[in-house]
Amino acid sequence: MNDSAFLMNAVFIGMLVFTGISITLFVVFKILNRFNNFGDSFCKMDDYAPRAIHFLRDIDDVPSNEKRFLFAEYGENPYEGRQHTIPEQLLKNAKKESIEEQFDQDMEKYT
Amino acid sequence: MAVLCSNCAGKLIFNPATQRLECATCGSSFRPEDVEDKNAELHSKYYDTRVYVCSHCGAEVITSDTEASSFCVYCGNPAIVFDRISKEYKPDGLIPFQVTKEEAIKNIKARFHRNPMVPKEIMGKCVPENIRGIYVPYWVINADYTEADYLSGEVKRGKSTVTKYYSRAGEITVKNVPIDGSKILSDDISRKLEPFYLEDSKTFDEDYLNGFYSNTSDMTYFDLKKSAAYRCHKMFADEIVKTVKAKNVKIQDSIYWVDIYDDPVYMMFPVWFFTFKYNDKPYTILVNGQSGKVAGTMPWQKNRVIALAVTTFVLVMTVIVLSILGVINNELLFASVAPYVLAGISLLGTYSFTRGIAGLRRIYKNLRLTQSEDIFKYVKKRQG
Repeated sequence: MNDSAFLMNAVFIGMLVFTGISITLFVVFKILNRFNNFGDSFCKMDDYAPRAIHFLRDIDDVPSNEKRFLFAEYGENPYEGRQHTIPEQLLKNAKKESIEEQFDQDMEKYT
Repeated sequence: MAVLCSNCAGKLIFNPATQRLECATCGSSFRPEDVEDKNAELHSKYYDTRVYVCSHCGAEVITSDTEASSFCVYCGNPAIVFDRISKEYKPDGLIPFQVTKEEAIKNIKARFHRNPMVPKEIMGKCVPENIRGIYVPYWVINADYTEADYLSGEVKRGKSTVTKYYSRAGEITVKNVPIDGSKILSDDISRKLEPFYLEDSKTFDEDYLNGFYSNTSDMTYFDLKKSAAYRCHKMFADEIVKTVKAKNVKIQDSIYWVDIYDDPVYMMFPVWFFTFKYNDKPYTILVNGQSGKVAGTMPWQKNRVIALAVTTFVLVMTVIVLSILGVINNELLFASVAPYVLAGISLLGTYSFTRGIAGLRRIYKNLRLTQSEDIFKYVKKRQG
Protein backbone atom coordinates (compact mmCIF):
# COMPACT_ATOMS: atom_id res chain seq x y z
CA MET A 1 0.00 0.00 0.00
CA ASN A 2 1.53 3.33 -0.98
CA ASP A 3 1.53 6.46 1.19
CA SER A 4 -1.36 8.22 -0.54
CA ALA A 5 -3.62 5.16 -0.30
CA PHE A 6 -2.71 4.83 3.37
CA LEU A 7 -3.51 8.50 3.94
CA MET A 8 -6.83 8.17 2.09
CA ASN A 9 -7.79 5.17 4.24
CA ALA A 10 -6.79 7.01 7.41
CA VAL A 11 -8.88 10.05 6.43
CA PHE A 12 -11.80 7.79 5.53
CA ILE A 13 -11.65 5.92 8.85
CA GLY A 14 -11.28 9.23 10.69
CA MET A 15 -14.40 10.53 8.97
CA LEU A 16 -16.31 7.38 9.93
CA VAL A 17 -15.29 7.68 13.58
CA PHE A 18 -16.15 11.42 13.57
CA THR A 19 -19.58 10.62 12.10
CA GLY A 20 -20.09 7.91 14.73
CA ILE A 21 -19.19 10.29 17.57
CA SER A 22 -21.37 13.05 16.08
CA ILE A 23 -24.43 10.81 15.78
CA THR A 24 -23.82 9.57 19.33
CA LEU A 25 -23.72 13.17 20.61
CA PHE A 26 -26.92 13.94 18.73
CA VAL A 27 -28.72 10.87 20.13
CA VAL A 28 -27.58 11.63 23.71
CA PHE A 29 -28.81 15.22 23.31
CA LYS A 30 -32.19 14.06 21.96
CA ILE A 31 -32.68 11.58 24.81
CA LEU A 32 -31.67 14.03 27.58
CA ASN A 33 -33.83 16.72 25.99
CA ARG A 34 -36.79 14.35 25.81
CA PHE A 35 -36.52 12.95 29.34
CA ASN A 36 -34.67 15.47 31.53
CA ASN A 37 -35.26 18.95 30.08
CA PHE A 38 -38.77 20.32 30.74
CA GLY A 39 -40.67 23.43 29.78
CA ASP A 40 -38.52 24.78 26.96
CA SER A 41 -41.49 26.04 24.91
CA PHE A 42 -41.67 29.81 25.19
CA CYS A 43 -44.39 32.34 24.50
CA LYS A 44 -43.80 34.12 21.22
CA MET A 45 -44.30 37.71 20.11
CA ASP A 46 -47.71 36.74 18.63
CA ASP A 47 -48.93 35.90 22.14
CA TYR A 48 -48.38 39.47 23.34
CA ALA A 49 -48.58 41.71 20.28
CA PRO A 50 -51.95 42.57 18.76
CA ARG A 51 -50.24 43.64 15.51
CA ALA A 52 -47.24 42.37 13.55
CA ILE A 53 -43.82 44.05 13.68
CA HIS A 54 -43.78 47.35 11.78
CA PHE A 55 -40.51 47.18 9.84
CA LEU A 56 -38.53 50.41 9.58
CA ARG A 57 -35.60 48.79 7.81
CA ASP A 58 -35.47 45.48 5.94
CA ILE A 59 -32.40 45.19 3.73
CA ASP A 60 -30.64 42.02 2.56
CA ASP A 61 -27.00 41.61 1.53
CA VAL A 62 -25.78 44.85 3.06
CA PRO A 63 -22.15 46.06 2.85
CA SER A 64 -19.84 45.62 5.82
CA ASN A 65 -20.12 49.29 6.90
CA GLU A 66 -23.94 49.04 7.17
CA LYS A 67 -23.79 48.31 10.90
CA ARG A 68 -22.37 51.81 11.52
CA PHE A 69 -25.23 53.47 9.62
CA LEU A 70 -27.87 51.22 11.21
CA PHE A 71 -26.75 51.99 14.75
CA ALA A 72 -26.24 55.66 13.98
CA GLU A 73 -29.86 55.85 12.83
CA TYR A 74 -31.38 53.82 15.70
CA GLY A 75 -28.84 54.53 18.44
CA GLU A 76 -30.93 57.28 20.02
CA ASN A 77 -33.76 56.33 22.38
CA PRO A 78 -36.93 57.07 20.36
CA TYR A 79 -38.94 57.32 23.59
CA GLU A 80 -36.64 59.88 25.23
CA GLY A 81 -38.57 62.51 27.13
CA ARG A 82 -41.75 60.48 27.69
CA GLN A 83 -42.82 60.90 31.31
CA HIS A 84 -44.50 58.13 33.28
CA THR A 85 -45.97 57.58 36.69
CA ILE A 86 -44.05 54.92 38.61
CA PRO A 87 -45.88 52.43 40.88
CA GLU A 88 -45.28 52.96 44.61
CA GLN A 89 -43.74 49.51 45.13
CA LEU A 90 -40.99 50.30 42.58
CA LEU A 91 -40.35 53.71 44.17
CA LYS A 92 -40.10 52.08 47.61
CA ASN A 93 -37.56 49.55 46.26
CA ALA A 94 -35.47 52.32 44.68
CA LYS A 95 -35.46 54.21 47.98
CA LYS A 96 -34.44 51.05 49.86
CA GLU A 97 -31.68 50.38 47.34
CA SER A 98 -30.28 53.90 47.60
CA ILE A 99 -30.28 53.68 51.42
CA GLU A 100 -28.39 50.36 51.21
CA GLU A 101 -25.91 51.87 48.75
CA GLN A 102 -25.36 54.84 51.04
CA PHE A 103 -24.84 52.46 53.97
CA ASP A 104 -22.27 50.44 51.97
CA GLN A 105 -20.42 53.65 51.03
CA ASP A 106 -20.40 54.80 54.64
CA MET A 107 -19.10 51.43 55.81
CA GLU A 108 -16.28 51.60 53.25
CA LYS A 109 -15.08 54.83 54.85
CA TYR A 110 -14.64 53.06 58.19
CA THR A 111 -13.00 49.88 56.92
CA MET B 1 -52.78 38.96 58.95
CA ALA B 2 -54.40 35.58 59.67
CA VAL B 3 -58.01 35.15 58.67
CA LEU B 4 -59.99 33.19 61.22
CA CYS B 5 -63.03 31.00 60.77
CA SER B 6 -66.19 32.85 61.78
CA ASN B 7 -67.63 29.60 63.25
CA CYS B 8 -64.74 28.35 65.42
CA ALA B 9 -61.92 30.91 65.12
CA GLY B 10 -59.69 28.26 63.48
CA LYS B 11 -57.19 29.27 60.79
CA LEU B 12 -58.43 29.26 57.20
CA ILE B 13 -56.34 27.81 54.35
CA PHE B 14 -56.99 28.39 50.64
CA ASN B 15 -57.69 25.13 48.77
CA PRO B 16 -56.87 25.36 45.02
CA ALA B 17 -59.11 22.37 44.22
CA THR B 18 -62.28 24.05 45.55
CA GLN B 19 -61.08 27.68 45.22
CA ARG B 20 -62.42 28.22 48.77
CA LEU B 21 -60.95 28.99 52.18
CA GLU B 22 -61.30 25.93 54.37
CA CYS B 23 -61.13 25.59 58.14
CA ALA B 24 -59.03 22.60 59.19
CA THR B 25 -60.68 22.58 62.64
CA CYS B 26 -64.42 22.57 61.92
CA GLY B 27 -64.47 21.94 58.16
CA SER B 28 -66.36 25.14 57.26
CA SER B 29 -65.52 26.73 53.90
CA PHE B 30 -65.88 30.26 52.58
CA ARG B 31 -65.36 32.13 49.31
CA PRO B 32 -62.33 34.47 49.76
CA GLU B 33 -64.38 37.46 48.63
CA ASP B 34 -67.00 36.69 51.32
CA VAL B 35 -64.54 36.79 54.22
CA GLU B 36 -64.89 40.15 55.87
CA ASP B 37 -61.79 42.18 56.66
CA LYS B 38 -62.59 44.02 59.87
CA ASN B 39 -59.75 46.50 59.29
CA ALA B 40 -60.49 47.10 55.62
CA GLU B 41 -59.71 50.80 55.76
CA LEU B 42 -56.37 50.24 57.47
CA HIS B 43 -55.51 47.47 55.02
CA SER B 44 -56.62 49.31 51.89
CA LYS B 45 -53.08 49.90 50.68
CA TYR B 46 -50.96 47.49 52.69
CA TYR B 47 -51.10 43.94 54.03
CA ASP B 48 -49.22 42.33 56.93
CA THR B 49 -46.54 39.74 56.27
CA ARG B 50 -43.88 37.77 58.14
CA VAL B 51 -40.52 38.05 56.40
CA TYR B 52 -37.92 35.29 56.61
CA VAL B 53 -34.41 35.71 55.20
CA CYS B 54 -32.23 32.87 53.88
CA SER B 55 -28.72 33.36 55.23
CA HIS B 56 -27.41 31.12 52.44
CA CYS B 57 -28.69 32.83 49.29
CA GLY B 58 -30.14 36.06 50.68
CA ALA B 59 -33.67 35.43 49.42
CA GLU B 60 -36.61 36.89 51.31
CA VAL B 61 -39.52 34.53 51.83
CA ILE B 62 -42.82 35.96 52.97
CA THR B 63 -45.55 34.03 54.72
CA SER B 64 -48.89 34.85 56.16
CA ASP B 65 -49.50 34.06 59.85
CA THR B 66 -50.74 30.61 58.97
CA GLU B 67 -47.44 29.20 57.71
CA ALA B 68 -44.01 29.13 59.33
CA SER B 69 -41.06 28.84 57.02
CA SER B 70 -38.55 26.08 57.76
CA PHE B 71 -36.32 26.24 54.67
CA CYS B 72 -35.62 28.52 51.74
CA VAL B 73 -37.99 27.80 48.86
CA TYR B 74 -35.39 29.08 46.39
CA CYS B 75 -32.24 27.16 47.36
CA GLY B 76 -33.58 24.51 49.73
CA ASN B 77 -31.26 25.56 52.55
CA PRO B 78 -32.60 25.25 56.11
CA ALA B 79 -30.57 28.30 57.24
CA ILE B 80 -33.65 30.52 57.15
CA VAL B 81 -34.39 32.92 59.97
CA PHE B 82 -37.38 35.05 60.88
CA ASP B 83 -36.48 38.66 60.13
CA ARG B 84 -39.43 40.97 60.71
CA ILE B 85 -43.14 41.61 60.42
CA SER B 86 -43.62 43.93 57.52
CA LYS B 87 -46.35 45.96 55.89
CA GLU B 88 -46.20 45.47 52.14
CA TYR B 89 -47.92 47.27 49.30
CA LYS B 90 -50.90 45.30 48.11
CA PRO B 91 -50.51 43.96 44.57
CA ASP B 92 -53.29 44.94 42.14
CA GLY B 93 -54.30 41.35 41.60
CA LEU B 94 -53.34 37.70 41.63
CA ILE B 95 -54.03 34.43 39.90
CA PRO B 96 -55.08 31.97 42.63
CA PHE B 97 -53.49 28.51 42.75
CA GLN B 98 -55.55 26.17 40.59
CA VAL B 99 -53.18 23.20 40.65
CA THR B 100 -53.12 21.44 44.01
CA LYS B 101 -49.92 20.19 45.64
CA GLU B 102 -50.95 16.61 44.82
CA GLU B 103 -51.45 17.51 41.15
CA ALA B 104 -48.07 19.29 41.06
CA ILE B 105 -46.42 16.15 42.50
CA LYS B 106 -48.27 14.03 39.94
CA ASN B 107 -47.07 16.26 37.09
CA ILE B 108 -43.46 16.07 38.28
CA LYS B 109 -43.67 12.30 38.82
CA ALA B 110 -45.08 11.87 35.32
CA ARG B 111 -41.70 13.14 34.11
CA PHE B 112 -39.97 10.29 36.00
CA HIS B 113 -42.22 7.67 34.53
CA ARG B 114 -40.16 5.29 32.39
CA ASN B 115 -37.30 7.79 32.50
CA PRO B 116 -34.08 5.76 32.62
CA MET B 117 -31.81 8.80 33.04
CA VAL B 118 -33.16 10.40 36.23
CA PRO B 119 -31.57 9.02 39.43
CA LYS B 120 -34.07 6.88 41.34
CA GLU B 121 -33.40 8.60 44.68
CA ILE B 122 -34.84 11.87 43.30
CA MET B 123 -38.21 10.20 42.81
CA GLY B 124 -38.24 9.42 46.53
CA LYS B 125 -37.67 13.10 47.24
CA CYS B 126 -40.78 14.17 45.34
CA VAL B 127 -42.93 14.26 48.48
CA PRO B 128 -45.25 16.99 49.83
CA GLU B 129 -42.64 18.18 52.38
CA ASN B 130 -40.26 19.18 49.58
CA ILE B 131 -42.86 21.10 47.57
CA ARG B 132 -43.94 24.62 48.47
CA GLY B 133 -46.46 26.89 46.84
CA ILE B 134 -45.27 30.44 46.40
CA TYR B 135 -46.94 33.50 44.91
CA VAL B 136 -44.24 35.04 42.74
CA PRO B 137 -44.48 38.81 42.09
CA TYR B 138 -44.91 39.84 38.46
CA TRP B 139 -45.40 43.13 36.65
CA VAL B 140 -47.79 42.91 33.72
CA ILE B 141 -46.79 45.61 31.26
CA ASN B 142 -47.92 47.24 28.04
CA ALA B 143 -45.08 48.83 26.11
CA ASP B 144 -43.73 50.26 22.87
CA TYR B 145 -40.58 48.55 21.69
CA THR B 146 -38.00 49.36 18.98
CA GLU B 147 -35.06 47.20 17.94
CA ALA B 148 -32.37 47.37 15.23
CA ASP B 149 -30.42 44.22 14.34
CA TYR B 150 -27.36 43.49 12.25
CA LEU B 151 -27.46 39.83 11.22
CA SER B 152 -25.37 37.32 9.30
CA GLY B 153 -26.42 34.22 7.42
CA GLU B 154 -24.95 31.63 5.09
CA VAL B 155 -26.20 31.28 1.50
CA LYS B 156 -25.20 28.94 -1.33
CA ARG B 157 -23.32 30.58 -4.17
CA GLY B 158 -22.67 27.86 -6.77
CA LYS B 159 -20.81 25.08 -4.97
CA SER B 160 -19.54 27.26 -2.16
CA THR B 161 -21.21 28.87 0.85
CA VAL B 162 -20.80 32.58 1.49
CA THR B 163 -21.68 34.71 4.52
CA LYS B 164 -24.08 37.58 3.86
CA TYR B 165 -25.14 40.39 6.16
CA TYR B 166 -28.62 41.76 6.81
CA SER B 167 -30.04 44.89 8.34
CA ARG B 168 -33.38 44.96 10.15
CA ALA B 169 -35.17 47.49 12.32
CA GLY B 170 -38.74 47.51 13.56
CA GLU B 171 -41.16 48.65 16.21
CA ILE B 172 -44.01 46.89 17.94
CA THR B 173 -46.53 47.42 20.72
CA VAL B 174 -46.84 44.60 23.24
CA LYS B 175 -49.72 44.04 25.66
CA ASN B 176 -49.96 42.13 28.94
CA VAL B 177 -46.37 40.86 29.00
CA PRO B 178 -45.58 39.30 32.40
CA ILE B 179 -42.21 40.38 33.82
CA ASP B 180 -41.05 38.49 36.88
CA GLY B 181 -40.67 41.07 39.64
CA SER B 182 -38.29 39.11 41.87
CA LYS B 183 -34.54 39.56 41.51
CA ILE B 184 -33.89 36.16 43.03
CA LEU B 185 -35.65 34.28 40.24
CA SER B 186 -33.87 34.27 36.90
CA ASP B 187 -35.93 35.73 34.04
CA ASP B 188 -34.82 32.78 31.91
CA ILE B 189 -36.44 30.39 34.40
CA SER B 190 -39.63 32.40 34.90
CA ARG B 191 -40.07 32.70 31.11
CA LYS B 192 -40.33 28.90 30.96
CA LEU B 193 -43.35 28.96 33.27
CA GLU B 194 -45.44 30.97 30.82
CA PRO B 195 -48.15 31.22 29.72
CA PHE B 196 -50.20 32.56 32.62
CA TYR B 197 -53.81 33.25 31.67
CA LEU B 198 -54.89 36.65 32.98
CA GLU B 199 -58.58 35.84 32.45
CA ASP B 200 -58.46 33.93 35.76
CA SER B 201 -56.94 36.78 37.73
CA LYS B 202 -58.71 38.22 40.77
CA THR B 203 -58.46 41.49 42.62
CA PHE B 204 -55.82 41.05 45.32
CA ASP B 205 -57.19 39.57 48.51
CA GLU B 206 -54.71 38.36 51.11
CA ASP B 207 -57.02 35.48 52.00
CA TYR B 208 -55.77 33.73 48.85
CA LEU B 209 -52.26 33.70 50.36
CA ASN B 210 -53.29 31.53 53.31
CA GLY B 211 -51.34 28.29 53.22
CA PHE B 212 -48.79 29.59 50.72
CA TYR B 213 -45.58 31.57 50.68
CA SER B 214 -45.30 34.80 48.76
CA ASN B 215 -42.70 37.28 47.76
CA THR B 216 -42.86 40.99 47.07
CA SER B 217 -41.26 42.68 44.11
CA ASP B 218 -37.78 43.87 45.03
CA MET B 219 -36.93 45.52 41.72
CA THR B 220 -36.74 49.21 40.88
CA TYR B 221 -38.29 50.91 37.85
CA PHE B 222 -34.86 50.77 36.20
CA ASP B 223 -34.71 46.98 36.80
CA LEU B 224 -38.22 46.60 35.40
CA LYS B 225 -37.27 48.47 32.21
CA LYS B 226 -34.15 46.33 31.85
CA SER B 227 -36.10 43.08 32.34
CA ALA B 228 -38.86 44.25 29.97
CA ALA B 229 -36.32 45.19 27.29
CA TYR B 230 -34.57 41.80 27.67
CA ARG B 231 -37.92 39.94 27.52
CA CYS B 232 -39.07 41.82 24.38
CA HIS B 233 -35.62 41.40 22.78
CA LYS B 234 -35.82 37.61 23.18
CA MET B 235 -39.21 37.51 21.43
CA PHE B 236 -38.32 40.12 18.79
CA ALA B 237 -35.04 38.38 17.91
CA ASP B 238 -36.88 35.07 17.33
CA GLU B 239 -39.17 36.82 14.83
CA ILE B 240 -36.39 38.77 13.08
CA VAL B 241 -34.25 35.67 12.49
CA LYS B 242 -37.21 34.12 10.64
CA THR B 243 -37.25 37.01 8.11
CA VAL B 244 -33.74 36.18 6.82
CA LYS B 245 -33.70 33.62 4.03
CA ALA B 246 -30.35 32.03 4.82
CA LYS B 247 -28.90 29.22 6.89
CA ASN B 248 -27.25 29.51 10.28
CA VAL B 249 -28.67 33.01 10.82
CA LYS B 250 -27.10 34.83 13.77
CA ILE B 251 -27.71 38.26 15.26
CA GLN B 252 -24.27 39.87 15.23
CA ASP B 253 -25.29 42.98 17.12
CA SER B 254 -28.48 44.68 18.20
CA ILE B 255 -29.74 47.79 19.90
CA TYR B 256 -33.15 48.07 21.53
CA TRP B 257 -35.39 50.48 23.43
CA VAL B 258 -38.52 49.98 25.47
CA ASP B 259 -41.10 52.41 26.78
CA ILE B 260 -43.43 50.99 29.43
CA TYR B 261 -46.87 52.58 29.56
CA ASP B 262 -48.16 54.24 32.71
CA ASP B 263 -50.12 51.28 33.94
CA PRO B 264 -47.81 48.34 34.87
CA VAL B 265 -50.01 46.03 36.90
CA TYR B 266 -48.53 44.50 40.05
CA MET B 267 -49.62 40.86 40.20
CA MET B 268 -48.85 37.63 42.01
CA PHE B 269 -48.68 34.40 40.02
CA PRO B 270 -48.84 30.91 41.56
CA VAL B 271 -45.77 28.63 41.30
CA TRP B 272 -44.96 25.32 43.00
CA PHE B 273 -41.26 24.93 43.91
CA PHE B 274 -39.88 21.37 44.20
CA THR B 275 -36.48 21.69 45.90
CA PHE B 276 -34.11 18.78 46.44
CA LYS B 277 -30.42 17.97 46.77
CA TYR B 278 -28.54 15.54 44.56
CA ASN B 279 -24.78 14.99 44.94
CA ASP B 280 -24.73 17.88 47.44
CA LYS B 281 -26.08 20.34 44.87
CA PRO B 282 -29.50 21.95 45.31
CA TYR B 283 -31.99 21.80 42.45
CA THR B 284 -35.33 23.55 41.97
CA ILE B 285 -37.99 22.33 39.58
CA LEU B 286 -40.93 24.71 39.08
CA VAL B 287 -44.56 23.96 38.30
CA ASN B 288 -46.94 26.64 37.01
CA GLY B 289 -49.64 26.77 39.70
CA GLN B 290 -52.29 27.71 37.14
CA SER B 291 -51.59 25.40 34.18
CA GLY B 292 -49.46 22.65 35.78
CA LYS B 293 -46.60 23.12 33.28
CA VAL B 294 -43.31 21.73 34.64
CA ALA B 295 -40.11 23.75 34.05
CA GLY B 296 -36.53 22.81 34.87
CA THR B 297 -33.85 20.28 34.07
CA MET B 298 -33.43 17.08 36.06
CA PRO B 299 -29.92 15.82 36.79
CA TRP B 300 -28.99 12.51 35.18
CA GLN B 301 -27.07 9.40 36.20
CA LYS B 302 -23.64 9.74 34.62
CA ASN B 303 -23.07 5.98 34.30
CA ARG B 304 -26.39 5.56 32.46
CA VAL B 305 -25.52 8.36 30.03
CA ILE B 306 -22.05 6.89 29.41
CA ALA B 307 -23.61 3.45 28.80
CA LEU B 308 -26.10 5.02 26.39
CA ALA B 309 -23.32 6.84 24.51
CA VAL B 310 -21.13 3.74 24.21
CA THR B 311 -24.05 1.56 23.03
CA THR B 312 -25.14 4.17 20.49
CA PHE B 313 -21.57 4.57 19.20
CA VAL B 314 -21.11 0.81 18.77
CA LEU B 315 -24.48 0.48 17.00
CA VAL B 316 -23.86 3.44 14.70
CA MET B 317 -20.36 2.24 13.77
CA THR B 318 -21.64 -1.28 13.12
CA VAL B 319 -24.34 0.02 10.77
CA ILE B 320 -21.92 2.35 8.94
CA VAL B 321 -19.16 -0.28 8.58
CA LEU B 322 -21.58 -2.99 7.41
CA SER B 323 -23.12 -0.61 4.84
CA ILE B 324 -19.71 0.38 3.51
CA LEU B 325 -18.51 -3.23 3.37
CA GLY B 326 -21.63 -4.05 1.35
CA VAL B 327 -20.82 -1.28 -1.13
CA ILE B 328 -17.10 -2.14 -1.33
CA ASN B 329 -17.88 -5.77 -2.15
CA ASN B 330 -19.69 -4.62 -5.24
CA GLU B 331 -16.88 -2.96 -7.27
CA LEU B 332 -19.16 -1.45 -9.90
CA LEU B 333 -21.49 0.03 -7.32
CA PHE B 334 -18.50 1.22 -5.26
CA ALA B 335 -17.02 3.16 -8.17
CA SER B 336 -20.30 4.93 -8.90
CA VAL B 337 -21.49 5.74 -5.37
CA ALA B 338 -18.23 6.21 -3.43
CA PRO B 339 -18.08 10.04 -3.82
CA TYR B 340 -21.73 10.36 -2.78
CA VAL B 341 -21.22 8.08 0.22
CA LEU B 342 -18.24 10.18 1.33
CA ALA B 343 -20.16 13.44 0.86
CA GLY B 344 -23.18 11.99 2.67
CA ILE B 345 -21.11 10.79 5.63
CA SER B 346 -19.31 14.11 6.00
CA LEU B 347 -22.60 16.06 5.79
CA LEU B 348 -24.33 13.77 8.29
CA GLY B 349 -21.34 13.98 10.64
CA THR B 350 -21.15 17.78 10.49
CA TYR B 351 -24.92 18.21 10.93
CA SER B 352 -25.13 15.82 13.88
CA PHE B 353 -22.05 17.33 15.50
CA THR B 354 -23.25 20.95 15.35
CA ARG B 355 -26.82 20.09 16.43
CA GLY B 356 -25.64 17.71 19.15
CA ILE B 357 -23.07 20.10 20.65
CA ALA B 358 -25.48 23.09 20.52
CA GLY B 359 -28.26 20.99 22.10
CA LEU B 360 -26.05 19.61 24.89
CA ARG B 361 -24.75 23.10 25.68
CA ARG B 362 -28.36 24.30 25.98
CA ILE B 363 -29.25 21.41 28.32
CA TYR B 364 -26.18 22.09 30.50
CA LYS B 365 -27.13 25.78 30.66
CA ASN B 366 -30.65 24.81 31.72
CA LEU B 367 -29.27 22.39 34.31
CA ARG B 368 -27.12 25.17 35.79
CA LEU B 369 -30.22 27.37 35.97
CA THR B 370 -32.08 24.59 37.77
CA GLN B 371 -29.25 24.32 40.30
CA SER B 372 -30.62 26.96 42.61
CA GLU B 373 -27.30 28.37 43.73
CA ASP B 374 -26.56 29.24 40.15
CA ILE B 375 -30.00 30.81 39.71
CA PHE B 376 -28.93 33.28 42.34
CA LYS B 377 -25.47 33.94 40.88
CA TYR B 378 -26.93 34.23 37.41
CA VAL B 379 -29.51 36.78 38.45
CA LYS B 380 -27.02 38.82 40.43
CA LYS B 381 -24.66 38.83 37.46
CA ARG B 382 -27.30 39.85 34.94
CA GLN B 383 -29.10 42.37 37.08
CA GLY B 384 -25.89 43.89 38.39
